[in-house]
Amino acid sequence: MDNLGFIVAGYTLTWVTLVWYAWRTNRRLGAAARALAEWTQTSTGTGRSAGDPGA
Amino acid sequence: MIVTSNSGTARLIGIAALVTMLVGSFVGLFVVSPDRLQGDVQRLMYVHVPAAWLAFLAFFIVFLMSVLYLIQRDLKWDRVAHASAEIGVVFTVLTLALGSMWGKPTWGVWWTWDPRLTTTAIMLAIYVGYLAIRSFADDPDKRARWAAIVGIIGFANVPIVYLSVIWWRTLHQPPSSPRSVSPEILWTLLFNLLAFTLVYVYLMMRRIRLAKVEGELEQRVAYNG
Amino acid sequence: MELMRRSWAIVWKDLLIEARTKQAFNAMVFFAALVLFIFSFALGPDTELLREVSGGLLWVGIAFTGILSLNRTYQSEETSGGIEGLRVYPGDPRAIFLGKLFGNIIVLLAVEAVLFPAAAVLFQIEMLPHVGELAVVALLGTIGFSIVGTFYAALTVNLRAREVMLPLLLFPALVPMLLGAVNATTLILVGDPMQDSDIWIRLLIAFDVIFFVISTWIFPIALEE
Repeated sequence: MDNLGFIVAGYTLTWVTLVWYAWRTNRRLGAAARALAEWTQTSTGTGRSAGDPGA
Repeated sequence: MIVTSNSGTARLIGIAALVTMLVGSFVGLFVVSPDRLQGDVQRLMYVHVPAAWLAFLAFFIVFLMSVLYLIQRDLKWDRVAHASAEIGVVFTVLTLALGSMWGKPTWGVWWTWDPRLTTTAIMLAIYVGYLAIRSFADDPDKRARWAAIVGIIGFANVPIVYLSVIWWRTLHQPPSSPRSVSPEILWTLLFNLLAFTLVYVYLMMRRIRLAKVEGELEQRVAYNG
Repeated sequence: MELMRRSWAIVWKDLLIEARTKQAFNAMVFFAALVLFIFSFALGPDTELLREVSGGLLWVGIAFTGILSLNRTYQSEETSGGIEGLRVYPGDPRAIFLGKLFGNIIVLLAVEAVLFPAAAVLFQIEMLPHVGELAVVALLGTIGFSIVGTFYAALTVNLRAREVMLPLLLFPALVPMLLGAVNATTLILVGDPMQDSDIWIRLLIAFDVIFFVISTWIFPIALEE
């Protein structure tokens, strides 16, 4: 295969880029969902949120 | 409860995307015969062209969603637009990089002022502007509004840019005569296009979900902050 | 028409402020002349070369200078806290856009009135035989630049990083206008046996019309709270 370097680089770049972005998005989603779950727990569970005027 | 693992549909699409990408790359690299004139380097077309198509499709979605948002003022349209813009940037950068990798061995240069490449580069600048302006507004509605404006005008600009660069080129050099493509090459290209589209759909599903969760987080922080 | 009357009120106000200080105008002329000089130094005394690139150089000077001017479009309102005042201004908000637009066009044309003769002298070009055509191109290009510039200046006026955002948003949008203006100007100055400049002038007209319509249509949304 002539110009092998360019072809390999091109296909590798494509795969690496798309897989990386998918992985990154999923990771961010996991982190955000966890953060949201924590928020929901602390404000509706036993803990009081900081803005609570007090009872 | 927030579902963080892939929802059923997303997982299916993700797997379909992965499989078609694998098949597409395999066929493009090892099965289909090399181009008569360009040789094996032409195989880069099977990743470069789909990436370009998706970059453009993603941008069109940004445009559509921006219009929908300005009409209905529903933030869900803005979330889709934002997701498509971010994914669009990825495909656009990929298109430009692959274009260079194809161009260097074929024409000896890393860059040509080809109308499509030039328009793609300018499209990248428009995308970056779209994402950048979002970072300047904390209020979700204001942010969505500004972004929508930039998205609409940016997209409207793309065909104008494309036509003007074509004129510019044809006045400076004669247009190259298009060669007919063999069915083998055409089908490989279309299959890879399908694969890339499935990747886009999967990435969109995950990115939109992320935007939704981040939006809810933002709301709660603002309310209690 | 009410709209025109309000627009002219704004134009007069801004021009009067401008005429009293003359600060900005002088700075712009000086800056533009500086650009011309530097390029002359860089390209050397070869008059043939200078003539060929004179179209591009002129519009580089005009574009850089124009951005200086744009940054200040809403400055008089800003410093007196007036951007809020603009918002509650009774009547059509488009009057603000038109007023600022005319103001920008007039100021930029004034700079060009100095710049073109200066270029004629520095680059040793015979411009007098082509004054009519050059005026048309200068006018159309300036209008196009100002429409897009005035619009994006309004969009970015409240942003902290305005000096970065304005050029970032502006550059992709200006590509067709710059292609049209530079090519038309160059053809007029260098020689245009096949009347190719017609295409570029038509592109400029189309650009001006399209962006004028879009900008005036969307401007109220850009000004929303």
